Amino acid sequence: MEDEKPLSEAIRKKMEVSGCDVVVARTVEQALDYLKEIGKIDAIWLDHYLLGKKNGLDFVTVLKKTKSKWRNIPIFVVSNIVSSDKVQSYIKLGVNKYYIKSDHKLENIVKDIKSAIEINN
Amino acid sequence: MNFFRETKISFKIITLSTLLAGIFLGGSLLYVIKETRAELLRTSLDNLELKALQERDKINLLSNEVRNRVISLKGTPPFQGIIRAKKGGGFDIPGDSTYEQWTERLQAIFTAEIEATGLYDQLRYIDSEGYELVRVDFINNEAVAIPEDKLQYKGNRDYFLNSINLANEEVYISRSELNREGNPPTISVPHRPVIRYSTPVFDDTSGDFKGLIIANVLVDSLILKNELSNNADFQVYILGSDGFFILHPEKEKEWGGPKNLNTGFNFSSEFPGINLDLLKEETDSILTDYGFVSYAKVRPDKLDLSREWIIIELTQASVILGPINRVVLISLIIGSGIFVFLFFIFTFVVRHLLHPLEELVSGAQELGKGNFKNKIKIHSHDEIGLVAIAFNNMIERLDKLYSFLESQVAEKTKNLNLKIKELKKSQIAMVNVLEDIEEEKKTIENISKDLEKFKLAVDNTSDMIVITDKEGVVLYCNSAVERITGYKSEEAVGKKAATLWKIPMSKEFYEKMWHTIKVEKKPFSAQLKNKRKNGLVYYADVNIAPVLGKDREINFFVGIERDITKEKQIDQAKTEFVSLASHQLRTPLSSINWYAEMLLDGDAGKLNKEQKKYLEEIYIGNQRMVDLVNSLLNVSRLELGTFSIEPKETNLVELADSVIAEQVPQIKERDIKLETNFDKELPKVLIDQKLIRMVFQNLLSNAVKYTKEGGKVIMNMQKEKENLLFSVSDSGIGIPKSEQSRIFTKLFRAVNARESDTTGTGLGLYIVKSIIEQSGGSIEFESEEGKGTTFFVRIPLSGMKSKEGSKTLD
Repeated sequence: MEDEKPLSEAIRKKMEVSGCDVVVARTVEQALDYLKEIGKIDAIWLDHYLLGKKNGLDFVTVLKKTKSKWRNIPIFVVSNIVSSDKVQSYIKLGVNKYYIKSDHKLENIVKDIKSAIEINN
Repeated sequence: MNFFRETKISFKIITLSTLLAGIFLGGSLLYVIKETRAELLRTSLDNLELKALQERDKINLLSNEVRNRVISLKGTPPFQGIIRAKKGGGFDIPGDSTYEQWTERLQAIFTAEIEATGLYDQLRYIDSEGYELVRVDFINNEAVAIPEDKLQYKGNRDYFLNSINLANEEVYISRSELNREGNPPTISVPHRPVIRYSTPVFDDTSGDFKGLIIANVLVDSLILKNELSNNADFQVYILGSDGFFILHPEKEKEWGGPKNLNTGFNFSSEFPGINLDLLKEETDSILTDYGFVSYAKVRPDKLDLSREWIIIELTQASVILGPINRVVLISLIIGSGIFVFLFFIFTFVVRHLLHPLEELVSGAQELGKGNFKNKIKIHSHDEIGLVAIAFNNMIERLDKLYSFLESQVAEKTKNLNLKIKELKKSQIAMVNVLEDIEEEKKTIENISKDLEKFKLAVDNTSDMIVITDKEGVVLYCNSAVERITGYKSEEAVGKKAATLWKIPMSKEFYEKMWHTIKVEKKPFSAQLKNKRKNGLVYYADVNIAPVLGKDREINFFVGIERDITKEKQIDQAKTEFVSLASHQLRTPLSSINWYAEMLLDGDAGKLNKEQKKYLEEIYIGNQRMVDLVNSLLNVSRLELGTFSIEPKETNLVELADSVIAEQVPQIKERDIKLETNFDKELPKVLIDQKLIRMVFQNLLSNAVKYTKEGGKVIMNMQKEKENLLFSVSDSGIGIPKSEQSRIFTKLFRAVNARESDTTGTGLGLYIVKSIIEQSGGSIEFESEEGKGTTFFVRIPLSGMKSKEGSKTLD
């Protein structure tokens, strides 16, 4: 989930290179729709700022609802915002990891996600 | 007059009596002296006169005696015998003697007379014709009868002629003159002044004049010249009736008359200043220019008034006056001496007499001073003594009276003093009370003034101030309450504060709150969301403090609320801005990063060497941008104060080790020798891990970055007093002295750092410094260009304080 086109393209390319299928959602609604549609999502790359009214935190909140069936999907928040309370909130909600976008190599993040998926499976 | 009033009695008496005595004595003395002087003078002059008189009397006496003797001489037998002899032709029948016998007898008588008396120069019997019949001369102290052949004729001499007509009892006395002898008669030498006494001789039977006895009397014997003393003080003169001197202290001045020596030296020659007429009395004394002249007149021949001698006693005035003046002087001296003596006597006596008076005076003075014990010691029974006795009695009575009074007064005074003490105590107490009251009043006034001020301040402050009782019921709201919450004061008072505009918080929150303010009795702070009357929600900074009375009982609660909505909004806006900025800045950077990465990884195909190189540059450049953006965002958070500090007990050694671990690739790449000296005994310190990690990272990476390949980096960490001392030392390029002062400033990179082509934002040290200082620590460095740099960081072991913020630094 990434609203910036160039970034989402880079992510998609990298994930595909590492052998994942990728769908890109630009809004929370879109993402939820995908979830409903696709059914099996192994991991979520989540940016905080998205198009639309809702942001990543809202999305995670929805996902981590007790009754939600998508509760256990590993979520990796990759964003450029650093406000500690947002980060805290994400972590409290139960995301796997939080990355500051510009601090990390794409490759590394992708690696982490890959290994998390493999562990899950 | 004042002077006189002031002086003592003794002085007055002494002075007056001395004065009187002096006057009296002086007067008497002067009178006495005057009289004495006159008397002395009189006496002296009398003495002088007496002398003259004595001389006169002597002369008179002698003269008389000579007269008598001459007369008696002529009664001797030879005279009649000669007469009879002459009548009898040379023989005296009745006498039975010859003429010669009678003349011899007469010579013998004459001789005896001359020798016996010493008065005569010559005795002669001259006959009626004038022929000397018998003559005896006194020659060389011897009476010598002159032989007949030497007898002379004297019939023409005046003494003869003057005498032939005398009666029997009469005696002619001639003038005195110097004896002449010879023919012509010349003055015999030595001079023999004589006076001739002649008396006629008569025949007894017939009564016829028969001759004269002529006696030449020596003037010197007459005047008893030998007995007259002439000395320097007294001079005797005898002045003959012709005005020439019979007697003069200087012999040559005698017999100056024409009949004698004919020198012309007379009275006037000796005493030119004296008029002879002055000597007009029989006897007198006069003071002349030559001195005192006492004189007496003598007439050898009483019958002849023209023939008078003046016996003059002359004496110098000083001779007379000298003794007199001496006497006067002595009298005066004695008088003065007496005067002085009297004065002392007076003084002594008066003092002595008046001493009791002084006693009296001092006694009275003592009494005047209030001394009733001083009795006067006076032993005399005179008036002063009586006064003293009376005085003493009086003193005794006064003393008794005074003692009695004193005791009475003392008694009363004691009582009075007690009363006064009581009164004073009351007074002091009252004064204290009044003072207290005054103070209270002042305090109250001040308090009320302050109260007014407070009320004004409280009322008008922009923050809400609510005062509740200990149950939380609102007692007072200031004007801000209405402004902020919309609730009017009247609406709020009397209701429980919690029910009013608060949005209910969690149970734990209220528990904590009440515990703090009611139990711990400490102020409680929190940030709350409140609701206005119109439903609007706002954020408030709330501080509730208990107001304690005596015994730490809670009387009131004071709540101060500040509407921090705006602040919160601002904060939020700041945070949002930074977030947005960071997001907006980072997004394109991420994009470049990842695409470059993918290209470099060969995800879009194999790259040739050059393509790789360029892409690497792009990647590196982008990385630099990312670093810069990160740093800038941190800086902005630091400056905006929007970052949080979450201290946790941390083992700093472990933190340092993990930081080192991250740097290992770069260390290895540059072949840097890293040495660590970490004190294993370091306690855990309460620090925000993220922040301190950043500090360690920055310092270590700088050390590595700026050290030449093969260089050395040393890291130390140990306790230093109450701080933890962390130091990083490198052997790198160092910081030039001229740029050391700016090393901590934003975006500053030293020249040599830039020259060395190492990458850096110039923000790292600024961020490190800010973090360290926010932690209550300090940072400093030592550096020498070309040699190396050491940074020292001190963090207090007490740790960092937690701080709320919207973001952490990263």
